[in-house]
Amino acid sequence: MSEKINLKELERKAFRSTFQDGLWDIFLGFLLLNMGGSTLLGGSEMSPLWSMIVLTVFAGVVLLLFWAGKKFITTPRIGSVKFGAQRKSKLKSVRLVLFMSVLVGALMSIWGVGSRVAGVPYLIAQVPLPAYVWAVQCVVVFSLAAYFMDVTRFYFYGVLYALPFPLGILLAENTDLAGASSMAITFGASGAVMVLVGAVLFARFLRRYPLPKDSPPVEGVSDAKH
Amino acid sequence: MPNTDAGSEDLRTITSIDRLIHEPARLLVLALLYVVESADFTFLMSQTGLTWGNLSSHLSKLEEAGYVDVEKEFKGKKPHTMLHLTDEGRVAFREYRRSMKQVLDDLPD
Repeated sequence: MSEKINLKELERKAFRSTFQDGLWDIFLGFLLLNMGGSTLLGGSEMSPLWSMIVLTVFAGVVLLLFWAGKKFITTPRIGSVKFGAQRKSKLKSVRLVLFMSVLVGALMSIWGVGSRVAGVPYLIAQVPLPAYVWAVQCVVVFSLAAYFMDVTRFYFYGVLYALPFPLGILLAENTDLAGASSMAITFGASGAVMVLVGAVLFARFLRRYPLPKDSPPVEGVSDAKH
Repeated sequence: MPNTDAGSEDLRTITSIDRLIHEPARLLVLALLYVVESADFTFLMSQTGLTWGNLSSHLSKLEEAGYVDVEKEFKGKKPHTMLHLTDEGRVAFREYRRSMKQVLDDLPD
């Protein structure tokens, strides 16, 4: 407590503490695993409708677990906080970046579908543009998120999200593996790394922040016994 | 001959430092509340490393001085207490920073 208090660093540290639980890492990792699973199911005999249902349910369960983890594990340990105007503006920028990313993703999906139907010249359809755009977009989006949110490991996650798609194509072209299997391997490996990092952070978080033994005062500080 | 007017001015600055804020634990709590909009008791505990009793005691003093305000809200059906700096607390913290900077900057090496 005798250390110099740097207010900017204090705010940054307080904000970063909300990412120390590793739940975002696990959530994002499972999304990658889900994508790997989707390529496997796409190549299986399961009907597209059932594949979609299975993947949606899996994504829903992951989202539900993420929400429950934040509500029942993280918040009771580190509490809640509302950040100031500057941080809110940074978060708004992150939301804008994510929105743009969804937009680009939608355009790429249209490209993907368009390349399979008549009307798109053969040569253009052969260029795996979505794979390149996906890679660049992941790096850009995660880097901007890392920058605005001061969470440096998101730079690394940008790379982990960017690589599976182009690497999967390379793997399929240069090995005997089917396209679906190679994508499942690359997406699965990246997702597994993120889940592993998240699990380590989660375990460290639980050790560092045990549940407070005393309940915080509910009816205001002035009513608390001391 | 030393400038006695400047010397006594420095002394006045030192003696006018807000002792309520000067206590290290309260200073840390105020600094945290200064950089966020509001935070609950558990968050302050996790960030400062203070015990429940200790933090409660410091917050009571800050609340009595009018530096900290308690905001009651509901999370679902559960009551939830958020704490934030009052305008008075914000001004006092700024003034404390200014005074400390002035005193420490004027110290000879």
